[in-house]
Amino acid sequence: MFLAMREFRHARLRYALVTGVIVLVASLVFILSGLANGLASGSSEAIEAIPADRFAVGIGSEFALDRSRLDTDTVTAIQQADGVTDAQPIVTLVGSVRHDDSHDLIGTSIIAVPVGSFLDPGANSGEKLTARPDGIVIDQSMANEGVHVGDTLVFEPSQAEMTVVGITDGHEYRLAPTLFISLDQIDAIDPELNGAVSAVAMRGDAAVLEALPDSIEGIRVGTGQDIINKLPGYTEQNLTLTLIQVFLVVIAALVIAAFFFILTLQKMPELGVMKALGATTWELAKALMIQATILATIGILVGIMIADTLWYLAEGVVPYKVQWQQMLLYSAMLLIVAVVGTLLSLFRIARVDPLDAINKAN
Amino acid sequence: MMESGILNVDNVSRHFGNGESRVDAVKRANFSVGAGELVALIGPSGSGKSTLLSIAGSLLQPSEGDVRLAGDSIGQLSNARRTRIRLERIGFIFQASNLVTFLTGKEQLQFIGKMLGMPEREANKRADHLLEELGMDARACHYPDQMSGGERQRIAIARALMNEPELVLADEPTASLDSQRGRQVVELLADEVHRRGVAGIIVTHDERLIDVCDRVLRISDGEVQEQ
Repeated sequence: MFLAMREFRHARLRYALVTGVIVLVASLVFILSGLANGLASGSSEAIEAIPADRFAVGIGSEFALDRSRLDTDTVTAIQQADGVTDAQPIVTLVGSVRHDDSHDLIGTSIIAVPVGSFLDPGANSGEKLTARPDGIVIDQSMANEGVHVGDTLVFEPSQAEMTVVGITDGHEYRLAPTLFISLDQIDAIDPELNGAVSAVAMRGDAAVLEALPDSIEGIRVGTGQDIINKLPGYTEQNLTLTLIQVFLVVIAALVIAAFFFILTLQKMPELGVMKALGATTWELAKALMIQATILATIGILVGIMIADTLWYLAEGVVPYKVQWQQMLLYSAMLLIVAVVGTLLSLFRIARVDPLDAINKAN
Repeated sequence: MMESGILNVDNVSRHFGNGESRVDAVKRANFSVGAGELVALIGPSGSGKSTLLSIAGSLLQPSEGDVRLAGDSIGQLSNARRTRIRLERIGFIFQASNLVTFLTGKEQLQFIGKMLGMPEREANKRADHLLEELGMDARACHYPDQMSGGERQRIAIARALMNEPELVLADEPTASLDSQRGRQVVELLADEVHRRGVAGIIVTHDERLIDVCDRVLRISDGEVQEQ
């Protein structure tokens, strides 16, 4: 601690600069992880919220709900199959609505579910879908567009009019303002469906459900995650953001490694003197590791503060979601990487010969 | 040969390399340095005086022979043991720029106290006392780059005495100083050696400093001769 702190004090600017780099890298890691989580949950919340064991989708759709169609007979066959304790059809559509007298269209994710089934999103405020047959329960993402309980929404192009009865939260789908209607009303909005649905959410023993395609033609069975992974851009976007974060952590390691390595090279003569005076390699290495730990800790803490502030400012504008376990994981990674980054310098310190203190001079 | 010395160098030889490229840096050196005695080790460059100083200072092992410090054989100890000996029993003064750049004058001394595991108050007290003794109390809070060459070497002497050593070794301590300042530094060192009763060796090529020292050893081509 003695050497570490005094060296900080003597070269404040130098250490402040490298801490600044670590701060920026750390805040970027945290901002990106919040953004990645926000984007991911904004796309998939509605599916994740469904307490189903498996989903049946149309064969050939590759679990992309947009392309998946199951006709009435198939739905009935699934509902009557042995081992299926509950099976509820669901329709997801991409649509647009007009809000009251406005001419502006709101692009929406429309989800139609059987009222009162386990797919029903309920409501946090206002009333549930059970309140009236032509009721709409909107997700918070729709409420953020200025839609209130009691408002009338006009669906395009069918001109069907329905009334908002309640608001639910945590049911966003495909990063668009999301609304729920009763499955009975779907014909009014998209008559071309002719009773067909996008998927059937099923409950029961997983092995039994997985075996359903053997007895029922034209379906595939998978998990909610299979569907989520097939959301447009979902997998690609997660991969990209994760990759950026991993690269940032590696960059942090390299910055710290390079910084301490150059500093160590600069200090070689005095390290030799200190060893000649009786300092052990461990003593000198310890100072370096303490420094790296302190710089990384400051970087991480300030990084979290910056990320938090930015998220606070971007509330409702940018999708983000804080996951503390993940923040902790990235913090730990940055910290470990910082200490590992000093390894190169530690080898160098170990190789300093105290004899150099005399020989260099002569 | 004086057996009563604090430092006894017995038949010490050191060679580097093997076969054709073998260099005999020190050949069968025999001498001792007693308590309160400052010995000048004088010789041209390449004469082996640095090698001999390194062996005496437990920085280097002799190829043959032994070194005894207050009766303890220190010639063939492990690296870790020799590091400990240097820390606890030997004081070093090197050529210019041997201070730690990011420590103030006083902290240079406190660092030794830290490594020795000395209680902070005791280390503080001893550091203050030494700095005062060497006339550096006013410069205690300055960094090496704010000091003159002479001031730096005085701090170095204070640092070398911090562990209350039995042996003080100075390697060309006047190399970067003008003759007047150089002489002052060596006189200070001689004073401390006499007063504290430690054994001292000073390697120098400056013949004018001989009169400050108690004895002179000349080394040429690795052979040491008492003068």
